[in-house]
Formats: sequence, structure tokens, C-alpha cells
Amino acid sequence: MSGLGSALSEAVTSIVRQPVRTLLCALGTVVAVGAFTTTNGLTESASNAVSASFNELRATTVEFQGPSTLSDADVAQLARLRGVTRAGLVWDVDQQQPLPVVVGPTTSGPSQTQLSVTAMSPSALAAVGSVLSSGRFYDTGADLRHQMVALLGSGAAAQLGISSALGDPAINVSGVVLTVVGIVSSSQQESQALLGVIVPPYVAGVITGNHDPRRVIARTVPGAAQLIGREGPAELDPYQPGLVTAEVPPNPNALRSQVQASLSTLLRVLSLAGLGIGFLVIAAVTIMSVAQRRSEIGLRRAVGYGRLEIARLIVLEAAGVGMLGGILGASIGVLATAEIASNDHWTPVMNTTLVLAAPFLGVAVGILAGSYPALRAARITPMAALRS
Amino acid sequence: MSAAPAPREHEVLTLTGVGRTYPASPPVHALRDVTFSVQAGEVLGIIGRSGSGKSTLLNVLGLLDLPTSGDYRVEGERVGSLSDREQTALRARFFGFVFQESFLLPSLSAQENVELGLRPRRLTPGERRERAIDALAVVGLSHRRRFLPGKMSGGECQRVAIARALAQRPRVLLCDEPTGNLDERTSSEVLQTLIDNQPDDVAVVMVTHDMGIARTLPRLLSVRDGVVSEGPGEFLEAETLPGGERP
Repeated sequence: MSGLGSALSEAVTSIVRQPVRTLLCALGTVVAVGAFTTTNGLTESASNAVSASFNELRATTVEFQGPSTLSDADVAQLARLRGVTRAGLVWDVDQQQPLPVVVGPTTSGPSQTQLSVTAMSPSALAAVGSVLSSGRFYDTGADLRHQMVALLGSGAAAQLGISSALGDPAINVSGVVLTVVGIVSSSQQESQALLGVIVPPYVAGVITGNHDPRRVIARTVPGAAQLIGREGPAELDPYQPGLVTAEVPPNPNALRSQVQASLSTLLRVLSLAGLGIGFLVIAAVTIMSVAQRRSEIGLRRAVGYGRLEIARLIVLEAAGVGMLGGILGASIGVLATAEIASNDHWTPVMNTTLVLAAPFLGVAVGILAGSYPALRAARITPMAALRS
Repeated sequence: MSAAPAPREHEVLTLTGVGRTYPASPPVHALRDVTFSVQAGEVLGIIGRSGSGKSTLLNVLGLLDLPTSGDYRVEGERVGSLSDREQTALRARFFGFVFQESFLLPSLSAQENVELGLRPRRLTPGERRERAIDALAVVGLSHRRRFLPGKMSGGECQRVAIARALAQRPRVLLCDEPTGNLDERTSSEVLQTLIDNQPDDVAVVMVTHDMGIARTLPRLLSVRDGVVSEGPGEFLEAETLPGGERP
């Protein structure tokens, strides 16, 4: 009987001489392997981009939650820790309940509105990355001298109709008259404060008393956040460190692993879906092809091809088509990854092993998808095939 | 039917009480109690109306179908006891087929189509090519060997099919209406090709509707309702049997 070499040459002839059928059949594998390669390439590239441009601010900010007894002196203790660059006290005055605010020294007026009030020590203004659009920040001296000043977030200023701190406009917050010394346009942390009034610690005490729980925002050098998060509570409250909790940014390495794991899961799902589609397309086209080639199969059986030779021929053809689809798909995948990555300013990263293995993946899909039609073809009796 | 002939040295096919019944409700008895033999080098015609069982007989003879009863031997070897693989090997070694359709693969040239019949053999590509070229020369198509079937006439395609069968160097050539799809002139050319190029030791069994062709054959079997008889029987005076209209 004909050997494997002869069967291979027959399969190649069949693939080459019937390009339309071959391309139709290969289309599924092209899509499957192309999707597989592209998804893999994009996953690698995205992981690379995510780890490179990971939010530095978030990675170097530690937030502590503590009792209302936390003071600037405690924050100063924390700031002495090696690795802390800035630290400051922040708390929501009256537990984030909006307070009545009026423009001018009176307690009522046509422009009365409800605004949140956030207390921030002068050092906290720097720690949260506040930027002024008008006026100036209050300083430690102003707090020590019990100056009745405030900053307005840009959202609150617009609500109150104050466009500039020029001329030190006055506002009345729950009956306490304050001078607006500046308007804050943005804040890397505490962005919700932009919608309200920001006051120094003394003023906060005058408005509602000092009963609100405190937060301490600490900025650290890169890589120190985990350590500061562990040691900070003891520095802030040496007698009862358990009352202080730290919220530290996730470990960058762990986060990278998480991101990669998530992307890998996505990759696996998309790849399997793509391969499934390729499998079904090859199987469907091969089944149709076997149905159309019944008389050819009958003739081959009549001239002496055994069932095994018929099955082998069909499987080899499907494997060849799979390999062709794998090569085309991998090429398209590499090009697509390079194009998409360069559009997003990422460095294209490809797993070369996977790209080189793609044609063999196509072969495997072809063999699997071709097996059932091959079995069906092998079962056809020559007489039935010739009669059709 | 006559009793089973005594086996002789040159007897290649021997059927004794062979029957072929297809399962249906009621069962279809396509062949009933068929007994005859074919000698090496003999030319034998099988005639009968459409549906009489003559193609079934040819399929059974060529091991494309198996009898459900009786004893069928190929050169003394009982085919009923052979496995599917052994039957396939015997078919490849012993029989050549020419069907009413040429069954040429449209994507292969005439020469490649002839070589296709040789692929199951243990031949080198060179030997296959040589045999195919020789067979095409015998049927007068050397100049067409690189042509695809779509570029050849019906008669030429059928001659390629004959070349494919001859290239296999079979012991028995089984022809099922080999000229059934051809016009009269082409039909006679093809038939002449077939008869003229048949080696002396090769038996030819030909199913035909055409009594003109049948009368030229030295031996005839007629089939009616699955029963096989020696001689032309009731069809002696007919020109063309029902179901055998020429194109």
C-alpha cells in the first residue's frame, strides 16, 4: 500500500490544486491562530505598558485612618520616618455632612448652598498635590495665629459665583465667617475636596469641634509605601497603634502579577474561542468536502485504497490546511500586534515560541477537526460512493 | 442455471449459488442463485434491463460488494472469508474497473489520473509515471497526457479511464456500460480501444445495454430479476435494451 510519503504528496497536490477549497477551509484556522497570536501579543505588550507606566502617585501614597486625637505633632513624628517625603492631616468636617455656605459675612442670602467642608493641615495641601488657580495656600503660621481663612475648590467656587480670590472674598460657613484666600483647581488625591470648602485645622475646630476621625496622607519615596504602611501606626499613636489603620497601595510586583493573570485569563478565553471557531470551520468544510468527493473516494476504494489510506489522506489534507492557516494566522497576528501596539505607543512584545508554534497548533487543529470527516469517509463503501 | 463448473487451472472467477439480498421491507433480492465462471482471457458480456441486477453482479465480481449467500472464489480463493483489508488488496491486485462515468479527478492531469490507480501499489514514482505514459500511449492519448479532464472530450476522458484500468495490469477488467455516456461514433472508438488493447490473458466482463456491442462479444450472460442465464435470452432481437438510450 502507498506509504506516508505518497499520501503526503497526494495531500499536498490536493491542497495546491484546489486553492479555493483550501483557502475556505484555512479561513477558520487563520482567524483562530490570528486571534490567538494577536491576543497573546497584545497581552504581552499591555502588561509591559502597564508595569512601565504604573500610577506613580498611587504607588507612593499611604493613607492612615485614626481617632480625632491625632494631631500635627503626631504627623510630624510620622514625617520623620525615612522614606516619607510629605505628610499631612485631613478630615471631613462634620462627617461629610454638607454645611450651609453663603457668600459674604451674613448667615443667609440668596446664594446659600450646601457644601462639604474638608479640614487639611498646610502640609496636607502639598501631600495631596493641590494646585491653585487663584490666590494662595494658607500656611502653618495662619493656623497657629487662628486666622479664619479658607480655600474653595474650583467646583464650589463656581457654585458660589466666586471666580477669583482677588480681594479676599468672604464666605459664611455655618455662621462662621471666613476669608477665601485661594481657589484650588486640582488635586491628585482628595479630588472630592474640589467640590467644597477646605479649611485649616483650627477653623475646622471652630466650625464643628474636634470630634471627627482623622486621616493622615503620607507621600513616600518609590518602594517605601509598604514599609511606611507597617511602621506608620506606631509613629502616629505609640500607645494605641491598633486604633490607626493604614491603607497602602498594592505591592507593584503583586499587582503586575494580578494584571498579567487577568490578561492571561482573557487570552485563554479568547484563544480557545478562536481555536474552537477554527476547529468547527475546518470540520464543517472537511465534512462538506467529503460529501462532494464521494465519487472520488469510491474510485480510490475501487482501485485499491484501503479505509486507512482514505482516512489518512483526509486527515493529512486537513492538517496541511491547518498548517497553512497557522502560518497565515500567525503572520497576521504579528502584524496586527505591531500595528495596534505602535498606535497605542506600546513596545510590541511577542512570545516567539508561540509564534513559531502557531503552524503546529494549526496542524493539531486540522488533525482534530479532520478526524471525524476522515472516519466518515473511511466508512463509505466503494459501491455506495460510486453510485452517488 | 447449470450446476457449478468444475474448477480448472485457467478459471479466474467462480460463482456458485451466489445471492445478494439488500435489507428492506420486503427484502430486495438483487441476485439469486448465480452460478457461472470466467476463464482467463475470456471476453464476456452481461446484458439485461435496467434494475435487473447486472451492475450488482459486476460489483460483486469486483469485490465492491459482497454476496449475502453462496460461494464466490477469485482464483480459487474464497472472498467471503477475507477481511476488508485483504479484499481491498485483492481488488487492487486483480481487478481493473471502467465505469460509465470516467470518474477522473478534475484537478489532476490525464497522466496523474492514470497514476492515481497505481498509487496503492508498491511502485516508485518513476515506475508509476512510466506505466501511465505507456497506458496513455496504448489508448492514443500521449499528446493529451498533461491536459486536465475539463479540457478533454467525453470520449477522451473515457479513454483515460481505460488507460487507468489498463495501467494497473489487472487479471480481470470489469466494465460497467463503458460507452453508455458516449455517442455512437465515439462509443465504437472507445470499445475498439478496449478490445484491441486487452492482453490475451486478461478477462473482460462488460455490462452493456447495447445489443450491437453485445453481439460482437464471444459470450453473453443475460440477467433478469436477479437471475443469470447463459446467452442473450429474450434480448436476441433487440437493438438497445430499455434504459440504454444513447446521448
